[in-house]
Amino acid sequence: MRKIQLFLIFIFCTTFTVNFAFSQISTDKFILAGKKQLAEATDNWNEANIIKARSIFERLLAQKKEESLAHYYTGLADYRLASRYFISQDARAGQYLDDGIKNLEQAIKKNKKFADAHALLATLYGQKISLNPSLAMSLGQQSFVSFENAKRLQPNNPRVLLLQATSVYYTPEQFGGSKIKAMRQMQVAIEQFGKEKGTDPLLPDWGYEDALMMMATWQMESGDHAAALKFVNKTLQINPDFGWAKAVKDSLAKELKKEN
Amino acid sequence: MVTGTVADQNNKPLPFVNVFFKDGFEGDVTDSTGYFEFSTTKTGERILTAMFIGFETYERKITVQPGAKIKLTIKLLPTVLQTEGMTVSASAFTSGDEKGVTLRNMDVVTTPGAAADIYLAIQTYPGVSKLDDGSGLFVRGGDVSETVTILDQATVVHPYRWESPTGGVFGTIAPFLVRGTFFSSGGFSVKYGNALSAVLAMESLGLPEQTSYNFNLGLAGISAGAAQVLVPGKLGMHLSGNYIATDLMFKLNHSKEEFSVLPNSQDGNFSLIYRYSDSGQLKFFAFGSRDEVGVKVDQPSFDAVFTGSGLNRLYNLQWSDLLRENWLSKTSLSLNRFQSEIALGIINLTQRDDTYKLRTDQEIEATKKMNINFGGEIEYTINRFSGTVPAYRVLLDPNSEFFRLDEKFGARRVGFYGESVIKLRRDVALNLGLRRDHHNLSRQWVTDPRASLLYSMTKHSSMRFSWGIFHQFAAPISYAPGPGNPNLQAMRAQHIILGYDYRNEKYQFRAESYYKKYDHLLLADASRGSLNDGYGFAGGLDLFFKYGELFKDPVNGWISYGIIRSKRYQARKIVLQKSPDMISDSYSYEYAPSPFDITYNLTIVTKLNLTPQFNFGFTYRIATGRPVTPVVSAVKDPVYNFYHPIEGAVNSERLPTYHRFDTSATYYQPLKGSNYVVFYAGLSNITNRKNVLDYDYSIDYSTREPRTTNFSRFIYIGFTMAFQSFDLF
Repeated sequence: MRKIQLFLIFIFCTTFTVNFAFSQISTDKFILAGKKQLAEATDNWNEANIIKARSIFERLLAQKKEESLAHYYTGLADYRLASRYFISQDARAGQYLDDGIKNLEQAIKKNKKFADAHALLATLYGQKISLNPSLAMSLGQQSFVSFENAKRLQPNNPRVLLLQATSVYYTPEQFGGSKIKAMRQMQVAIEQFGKEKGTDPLLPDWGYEDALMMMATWQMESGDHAAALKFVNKTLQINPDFGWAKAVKDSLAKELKKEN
Repeated sequence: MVTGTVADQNNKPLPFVNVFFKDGFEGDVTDSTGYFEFSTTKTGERILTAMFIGFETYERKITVQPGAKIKLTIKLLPTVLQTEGMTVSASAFTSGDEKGVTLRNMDVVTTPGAAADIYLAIQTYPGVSKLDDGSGLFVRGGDVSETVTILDQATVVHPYRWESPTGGVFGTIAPFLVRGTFFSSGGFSVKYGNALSAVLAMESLGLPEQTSYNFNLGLAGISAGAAQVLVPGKLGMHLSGNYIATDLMFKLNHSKEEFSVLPNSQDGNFSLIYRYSDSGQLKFFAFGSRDEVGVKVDQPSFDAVFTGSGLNRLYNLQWSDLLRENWLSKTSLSLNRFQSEIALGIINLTQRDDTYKLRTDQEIEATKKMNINFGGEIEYTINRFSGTVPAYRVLLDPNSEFFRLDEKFGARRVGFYGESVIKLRRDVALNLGLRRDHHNLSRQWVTDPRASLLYSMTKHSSMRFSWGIFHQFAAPISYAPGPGNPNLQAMRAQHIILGYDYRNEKYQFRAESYYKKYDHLLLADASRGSLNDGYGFAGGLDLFFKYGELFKDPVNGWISYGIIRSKRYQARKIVLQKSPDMISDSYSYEYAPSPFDITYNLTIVTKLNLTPQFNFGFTYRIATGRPVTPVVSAVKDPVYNFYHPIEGAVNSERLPTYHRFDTSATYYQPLKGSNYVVFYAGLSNITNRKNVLDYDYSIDYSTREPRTTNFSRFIYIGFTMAFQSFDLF
């Protein structure tokens, strides 16, 4: 009788473990697929493909697979879409920001030490303030605290540095922003991206191209087209498919030709 | 194979919709024509989902047969109602960070003429009548006592500083002690009991996320505060102190001569917040304030000086936690202790009110379409009066006859409520609730059923309808045998409100009509203190137009306009000649305009962002003068040397129209890091208008003089600093 009991316990445990492992493999597979699709869509700045990538994470969450990473990548897709709609002054920017904030708060709830999620959340708070400056009193502080949390958790995380440098650059000077400080911080972020060695393919690894292109943009704004071109070339060196760099390179080359 | 199309309510194809089976990953995202197509191998009963941001999620059960082709036409409807944070009841203004809020802390502190006071800022909103320069909230024809103030579930029984019969000069609770405010001018939820007209519910600051300090120095005082993180994410405290001394301010504005003791006040706040888990929190909030004033009063027989002081303390311990993921529980235990001392001639009266309260509120998100709220409260109030009062009301001379008072009377009220907020359709929500209250002195159970219906016609516009019964019990001392009437019943009001609301990114418009019927109101009575025979009504229309966003749009602000008609059955003082040498005061009763019948009330608040750092604003108010009962003649007392006034028809005259024009300007200067300093200046009552607040009669009532406002043209300057480190420059 005892042997039967032990056998049943063994069968139960084996079945549970196998099911759990299978389920985890399946979740990981979809996170990887979604992450790859999101990266490719971002390369081409393709709205439809960003939404398609987002839909993969949305399906994971609909199955009650409350994965911190699924929430994070949904938030990242929301950030990409909100940034796109923000430029075109589309009302959907606000909707994606709200959804992104909700997802990133969930990602942090499930993994408090998720520095990337803290930093991205801080950025989305900042974008909400850009849409509605009267929220600055409350969300400004939340944004500040989220950045502080991210830096405390991973001071050398290049995405944390990238997002904070971007925030500092676009914050008006009377509210503590500084273009010089931002460029210095972005330089550190770029150095950290160069050193980053991804150990877990599921974890965030985006941003190197964004950091380089931000610097290129800022150099262009300051009128240093040669320096800007260097950053564009560096971007294309690490990712020849990065659409933003490809688009900018031609116009930059023209500007430089005019200058010469 | 599953194929189909997705369109919106106008049959316009919707691209980018995520269509998939909920129990698997098979799915597709619609193309530009709204078309989707995907295959599936799993058969049986399955749930197909279609999701797109800004639209209601679509779900449908489908039986998948092996090899079968399924063709679907899906219609997605835009999200117009979010159950989360949905306000179904009419007449509500909320503050916080949510979308669509109407009254933020920054609105309060930047409203010219509001002196950074929550109550004065709320007076610029519709439904609140402006009776004088004070901060009393007279809502839709109701008395100031018909508005209840709540902080973190605790009742703030005396919410005003420098109390007066019309409320007080300012509110007790400063805006930067609270993080959220809910104000309803009628039709509010069953959560709130023992209030006939309105509710102001505030939530104090939560756990500080970073250590910060603030310092303020103005013409009338100095204040400082700190938010201190003790254990990051776990334990923190807020500490603040405020000292108001008006000497310098009155000197500068040449208006101090009528004060024997210049208005002064001190207050302090301490709160400690302990977050013991992700969702659980204990908060201890303690507040104390003291105020004092002395005013010279016209009295023919002696040099009269009125002195008044108040001491107000509030202690509240609140626990909140999620009992389950969808169940929020909040419970608080509070004590509000108020003590005042007033002296004028023979009057020397000390009042002490203690209110103990235990309250619990439970909020359950039962389903995606239904929230259930329930809770209860026990409130025990003790009123104490001691001191001397004149034997004859009008003889105040220190040598005149007096009565000694020493009254203590307590009352217990027990109340509980339950309500459900149901999303009947994607665009219709219903709030149904019931509350019951028992009061031990009236020996009465009262039942308040209330209902509100919200219909969102479009994403931007909605209609609201609210109906409900509201009860309020008189203060305990009113039941005391002798000065009061032990047989008093609860006062009762019925609210009917119909409102329309339109809001988009740029502006908000709200129109609300209301009818409020009163019964069992208190009426003055010569022998029993008061009777329950009062009745009346208030009906009107409130309009509100808010334009632009603070700090975003160069011009922003709001206009509110209210029109009201209100009548009550009221007491009129008469004189009875009982014998040749005895005259006594008595009452007759008549149906007449209520004392709060301010026919129209217009407020215009405009703020101009002249540069990102410099703002200028003004507030202009105009309101019909309040009704007053004139004294038409007087009879000399046969024994004592004073006159008994004979009143004319109740509220048959009105004070002149009230006008006030206030301006303010602020300059924001950033310092190192996130530190900043804001310089501010205000010029109140810029036209120096002498608004009439009442009439003062001569000793024989043969002549009268208008009593005008204490607030003549008035300048105020100061600065406030906020900093997170002491490395400022």
